[in-house]
Amino acid sequence: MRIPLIGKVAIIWVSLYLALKFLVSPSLPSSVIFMYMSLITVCILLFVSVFPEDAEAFFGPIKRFIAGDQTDSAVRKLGRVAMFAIIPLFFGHRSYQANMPSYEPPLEQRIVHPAPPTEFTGMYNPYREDHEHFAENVKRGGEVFYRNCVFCHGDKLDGTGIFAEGFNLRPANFQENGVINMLQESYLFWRISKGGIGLPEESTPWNSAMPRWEAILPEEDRWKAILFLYDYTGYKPRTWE
Amino acid sequence: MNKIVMRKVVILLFLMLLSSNSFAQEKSGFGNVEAGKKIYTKRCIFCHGEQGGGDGPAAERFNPRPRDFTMGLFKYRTTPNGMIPTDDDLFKVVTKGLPGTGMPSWESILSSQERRDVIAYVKTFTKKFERQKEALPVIEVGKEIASSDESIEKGRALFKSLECFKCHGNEGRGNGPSALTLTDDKGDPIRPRNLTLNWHFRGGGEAKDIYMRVNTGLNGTPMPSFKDSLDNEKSWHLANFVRSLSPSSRPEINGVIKSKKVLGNIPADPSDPFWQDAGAGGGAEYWFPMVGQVIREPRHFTPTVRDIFVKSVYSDKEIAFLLRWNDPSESKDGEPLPVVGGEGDEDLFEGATSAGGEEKPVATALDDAVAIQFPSHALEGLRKPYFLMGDEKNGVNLWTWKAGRLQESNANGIDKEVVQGSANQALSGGGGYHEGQYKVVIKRSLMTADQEKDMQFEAGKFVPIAFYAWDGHNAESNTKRSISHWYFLLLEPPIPRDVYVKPPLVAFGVFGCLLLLQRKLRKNHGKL
Amino acid sequence: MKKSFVFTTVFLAGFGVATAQAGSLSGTIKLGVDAPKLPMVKVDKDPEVCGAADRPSEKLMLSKDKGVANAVITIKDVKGGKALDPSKKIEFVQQKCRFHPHVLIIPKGAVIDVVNNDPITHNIHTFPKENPPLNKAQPTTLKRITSPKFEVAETIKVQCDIHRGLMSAWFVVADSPYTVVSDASGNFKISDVPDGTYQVEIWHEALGKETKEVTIKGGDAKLDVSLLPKKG
Repeated sequence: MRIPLIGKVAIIWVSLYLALKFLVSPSLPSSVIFMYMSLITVCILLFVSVFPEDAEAFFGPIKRFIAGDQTDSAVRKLGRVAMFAIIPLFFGHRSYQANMPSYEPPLEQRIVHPAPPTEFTGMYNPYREDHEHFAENVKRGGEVFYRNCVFCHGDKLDGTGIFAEGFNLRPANFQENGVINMLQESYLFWRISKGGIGLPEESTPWNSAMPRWEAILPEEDRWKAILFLYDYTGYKPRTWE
Repeated sequence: MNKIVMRKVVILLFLMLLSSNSFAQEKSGFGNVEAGKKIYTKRCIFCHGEQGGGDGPAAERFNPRPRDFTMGLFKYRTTPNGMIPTDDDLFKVVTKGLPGTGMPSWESILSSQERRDVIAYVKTFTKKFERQKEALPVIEVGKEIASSDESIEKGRALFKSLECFKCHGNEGRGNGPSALTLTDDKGDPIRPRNLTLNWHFRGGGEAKDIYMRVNTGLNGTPMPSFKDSLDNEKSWHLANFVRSLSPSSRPEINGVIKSKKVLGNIPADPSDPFWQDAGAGGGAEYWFPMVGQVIREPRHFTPTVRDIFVKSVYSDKEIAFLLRWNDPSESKDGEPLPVVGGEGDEDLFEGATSAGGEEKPVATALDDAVAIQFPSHALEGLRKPYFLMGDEKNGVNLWTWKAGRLQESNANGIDKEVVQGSANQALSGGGGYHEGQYKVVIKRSLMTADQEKDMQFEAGKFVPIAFYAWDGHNAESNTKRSISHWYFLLLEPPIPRDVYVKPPLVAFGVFGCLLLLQRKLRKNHGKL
Repeated sequence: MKKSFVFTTVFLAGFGVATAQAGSLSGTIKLGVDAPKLPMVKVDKDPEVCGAADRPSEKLMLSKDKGVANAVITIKDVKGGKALDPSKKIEFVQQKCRFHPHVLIIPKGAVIDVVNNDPITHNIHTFPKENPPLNKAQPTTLKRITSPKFEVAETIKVQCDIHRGLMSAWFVVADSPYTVVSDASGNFKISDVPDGTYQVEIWHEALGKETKEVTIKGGDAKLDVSLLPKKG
């Protein structure tokens, strides 16, 4: 059985729509789909108008359907009424969508790991090479962590502390690959010492809940806490290449 | 014949041995104590302490405190009241953690064998596990009775007759008459659970979890077992009722509070029907988590208020916020606090030996309070003031309700808050405390004269907004408070007239076109 | 005459044997310092059941002449003598938001019946170190709860959390049958004690522990003790 041209066109149109809607990942916004489908529609119309036979095969049934006939079946008549209702409503709805104002909050972009100021580059953890007291220093670092940092960064150091949810910039996850293993200890020391408020403008310092720990913890404790972070997670700090 | 039976018996015995062996593998009791000790020393000592006494360096900053394993009292069990937990009970807690406490879910870091090992070690801190020779009896959750209005009503009656409200409050917000005097078995203050926020239930917030809790009780706490008074049916009714006090699902953070435009006056009384009316102030309520202020000294690790619910509407003249938050006690500055533990443990003879015999000063509460924070004025681009009370350059505008008094202030940092002059005080509002909950309305005119200090509100603009809360009973004041992050407030502009005019015009036009097309086609009928 | 003499001799001899083997210990426990101002407990819950008026704390109850009630007196390590009887029925009653008695002696191995005579819910919550803990709700529909066996001798604090501050008591799980509680005047009496020299332990919840030595040699030995406040 041969499928009439109009049927073929309908099948192609619908399958292209379904492909755009469901097969593309990540899913496209409806406005983009609308744009593509408009383009496809125009192409199809061009294609069927090139030869008069095609044009007749395509437009003929449409014209006859719209014009109608005394001999039309009840189904065709009902279909026509439905078409006269659905097409105006469709355009009315699109107009409603276009005119209804929508408000999106401003998108906040920020640089996650800005360059540290020069005084914080190239510092070494003074306890890193103290092999004799290493375990002791790690333990002290753990005490500092669990008395101070745990509320946000979590008992497992994965950024899911009991207060994490309250903050818009979620606390750093030290267990995640690509966080502390990609950073030097001096960088961590900078972030810990100066806190969120010490970030440059492009990193939205007003959003960070990281305290300025130099106001709370002695320098020694901050370094030992860093030692603990690496020891607990098993990562190695990034060193100078 | 006999041989066949013998063979069967042997096979059966062999199978039994096999199955019991594989069953044993499943059980957590077969962990290795030595391996567990290593894990414990690395992961657990900071809270639970080296000797398992619940006294690690972090312990005092948590509420509830870490479990003291030496007491052998465990809250979340399937075993009857007073008994030690099964290995499976412990395994579940270690695996899934206890939401809202410092105890995390360990399954992402520790393998199931490691979890079993650490449990095996934890069990050595008390003699109770070693002494338990017989198998532990386990409370089974019986055939479920699905929640229904009828079941909930029966549960409500049980809640009343069993007197659950004595601690949990008439409406379940943890504010019963006995609530504030309670301590756990270590003598630390403990509060009954607020039953209307089930995402904070440590042992799980679903009806089956509640079923288990009312039957087992929580060892080491004032929560008793009601098993002797409940059968399966009653347990489900009670559980279904308690479950019904919380929303069907945990609220999610929606970062934009949409303030809806309303006509006429906005009532300052939160109990006004206006606030229930869907056409007026009864619209969407937004939920935000509140956390302890752990950024600036003196910090606060154990805040009372962990949730705030916000509604907003505006009119031609003013903008209003209805804030709702839970607090187990209404406290005002200077009011005496109920004595935790009821009687107090002060030395009977202290008065007799001290020279003047002066009476000890009674501990008093501070004011309960709430505040809304905006930038003092709109800022360029994405810039906001520092979320915690602003910064040197960019200040914040604070609307504070403090035990019934309203106050406008500005701050450039948590220690730099300045109350506005009386001429500039323009807030109005009302509301108060009822059954463990505050409901407060705060209003101000959209525009004020002082554009530098007062946030000005315009429809369609996104305004950063944040919240603070203080529980005076929990010694909260000043920096010791619950805080939120910045969210946005949007005064939804009224829908433009075009929305109601253009679409019908378009639809009508298209309809006309179709008609014209049809006429034309019919005229040229012969060509078709 | 002769007959009666013999009878008397026998009688006296019998008596003599009895006195040589057993006696009793009695006395009074008193407070050794000036009576402090005793705290009152505010009744702020269920006044229709618990009573509206403030009541004296049960922590330290003194008679007019400073006799200490609710002190526990135990004669330790008695060889021979009577046996511990854990089979006796023991009731522990909650009435008008008060536990009766305030100090309950439980022979090791016994169970007790917890009875709620109030028209409101109480919860019986124990704080043992060795015995299994108990925390059960006892609503009005549950008149009587039987406890598990108390298997280890120890002193256990008991309270009702719902009426915290109003309702507290002590269970003394005793492994000696020679354990008694002093009455409201501070008096006590322990009978049927085989002769001997013993350590007597006196314990009071607010005054702590004291040990005395007594010798019982027939008849009634006296032991009056003045307790001093615990240090620190």
